[in-house]
Amino acid sequence: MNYEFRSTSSLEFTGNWFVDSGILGFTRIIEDIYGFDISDIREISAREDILYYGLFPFAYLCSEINRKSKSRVSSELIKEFIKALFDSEFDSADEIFEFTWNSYITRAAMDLWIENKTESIIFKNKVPDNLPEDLKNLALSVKELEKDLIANDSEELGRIFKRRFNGFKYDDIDIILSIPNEDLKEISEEFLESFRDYSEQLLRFRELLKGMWLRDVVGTSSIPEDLDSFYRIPIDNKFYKNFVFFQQSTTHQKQKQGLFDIISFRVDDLDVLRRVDKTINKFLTSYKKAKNTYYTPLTSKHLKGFSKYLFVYLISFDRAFEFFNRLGYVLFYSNDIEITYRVNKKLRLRKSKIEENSVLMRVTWQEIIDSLIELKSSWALENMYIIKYRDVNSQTQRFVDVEYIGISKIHASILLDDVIRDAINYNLHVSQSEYRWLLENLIQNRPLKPLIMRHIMLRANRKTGQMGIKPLLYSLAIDSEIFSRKEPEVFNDPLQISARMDEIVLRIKETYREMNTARRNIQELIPPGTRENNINQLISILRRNNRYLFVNNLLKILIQENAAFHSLKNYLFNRILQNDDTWDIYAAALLTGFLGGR
Amino acid sequence: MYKKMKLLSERDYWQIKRYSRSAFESIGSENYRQRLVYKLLNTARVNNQSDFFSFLLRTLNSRKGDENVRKLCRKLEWVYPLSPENFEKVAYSIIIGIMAAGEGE
Repeated sequence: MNYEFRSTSSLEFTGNWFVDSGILGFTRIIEDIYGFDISDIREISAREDILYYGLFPFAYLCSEINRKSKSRVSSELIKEFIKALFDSEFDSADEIFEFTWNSYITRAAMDLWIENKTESIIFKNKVPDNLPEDLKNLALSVKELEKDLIANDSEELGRIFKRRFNGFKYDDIDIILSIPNEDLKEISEEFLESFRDYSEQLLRFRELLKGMWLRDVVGTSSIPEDLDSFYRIPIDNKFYKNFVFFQQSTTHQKQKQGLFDIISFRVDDLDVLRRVDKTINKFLTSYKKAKNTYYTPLTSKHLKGFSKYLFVYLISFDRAFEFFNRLGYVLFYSNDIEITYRVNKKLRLRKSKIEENSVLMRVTWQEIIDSLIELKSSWALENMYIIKYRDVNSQTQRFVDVEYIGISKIHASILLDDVIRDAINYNLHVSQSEYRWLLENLIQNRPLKPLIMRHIMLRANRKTGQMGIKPLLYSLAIDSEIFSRKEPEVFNDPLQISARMDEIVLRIKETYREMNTARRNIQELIPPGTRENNINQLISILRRNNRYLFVNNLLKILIQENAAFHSLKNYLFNRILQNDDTWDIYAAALLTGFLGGR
Repeated sequence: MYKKMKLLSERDYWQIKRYSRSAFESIGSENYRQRLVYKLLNTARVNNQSDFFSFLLRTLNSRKGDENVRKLCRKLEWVYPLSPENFEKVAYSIIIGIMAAGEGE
């Protein structure tokens, strides 16, 4: 098969869920860092090189740094970068990337690198062999001062740091640098002096690191070879653990090259492909002998035609997911980028309230319905999933506990019909303090009739102010079609499914009309007194599921009501007496006639 | 003689209802039919087959020369004997048929 690159990068979904998740992750990274929403990003994508070689790498690094560092990348630096990027003239995409990396990514990464080196050299005693002499000496002097402090003042230090003091930890650093002199002086002048010596040396150590980074890394493309691994940007991502970019043993230059390879997607170079196979996506198999065919034996060369920036999306894949307490990592996915973007954004906004599956589903569906009404789009609802995973195994990088919640074609067809959807987009009063959203029940494939029955009881006893009839009858009409066992679905010709789905909507509407006519006849032809006297008994018979007793009682009422009988006799005979599957649903529809209402 | 119970189709019930209606078009007044329906509803309610058919056949007997009555009787003879489930369906088909008599469908 011949694959062609798409002509633009206009951010459209491909139909392949894991590539699409990457596209969504990509938009999220850009949005999180710069505040651009999807329409802004689409606009910027006209300047493809700026978006993919400038905005993306900086945002990607910033998001990784923000995850790791104590302090976030400053908004001033981000603003400065955007201005510089859009104001400058570049001759090529390579130049944009060089500018972005050398002048801005390195500045964004500086604090994280200093934190990391301070932690490993001073607090974890990991001193690399090739460390420059001045830095090594300063580190040794900090350690010496610490030893003296422990030997002479461990009790006082124990009080300050509220633990049995054996030595400083990296987390103590904020206290070390901020504790007021007066507090230290209270202990003793000598203690103040030795503590200040220690903290000043520590500060000097950090200043020295900063000076080195500014001298050797920022604004330059030639890092001293012997310090290349020393200057590695200390980021880590268990999702892409094996990707060169995140490997502990890599170097600064390799990180830069790795990210550039990802973006430029030089698929002719097999070495590049080797570096970005399974290491960036679990769905890609390794080029090496030990193949990881966890999910599919796809290699990246099979995917190269999907999109010009495929690998950019693949390394953004994990960002599409949001972590929810008790639920794990969750992504809503449909084959429409707008709706997917909107729903996931809404889920994120309501994150603190979402701690169980039912709430997650409710929020998801509310947003889907809102978007559907607002966008008036006829996108296919059918390919929608909630993709969840608990964790990524750090050894195998496999998803743990993945769950796909699909929406059946039947439900999708019903939801896409404006009339039906409007009717059941309704919070029904079902008990004294409980309201249920009919639509949600439908989506969850639960019958609606039990809710309708609870509502009818409430209404018969005048315990609700709700007077609507349409939601009740449409719910019953839907139930009668969905839960009818007349047509076995298994082994049916799949090509006829769509036609059948269209039919089901028509049938629901027909059933609604039939039920509504029967209801109106009861309401109009049976006197209110008779209706009121009999409703509770009929409800009770229906709840006991006794079809013949229901018919018996109804006929006794109708003996006196000739006109009503003649308008109902066919319904009674065909829909209740003869209907073994769904007679109870049609009977419930008759009860609504006894209630009154509109 | 032992007679096997039959499986009844929707069409059978529909015929029973239709024949009942036609047969009762010419039997008694509306009041008479109402009283009969009451009795039949009460016997059907307790699943009392013998009383149900006793009331029904006694009424039909008065008009056994009528072609429509004969059709109904033949159909009832054909469906007989009835399981309790079938009986209820047959009984209410008959009752609805009787109630429908006297006014064009």
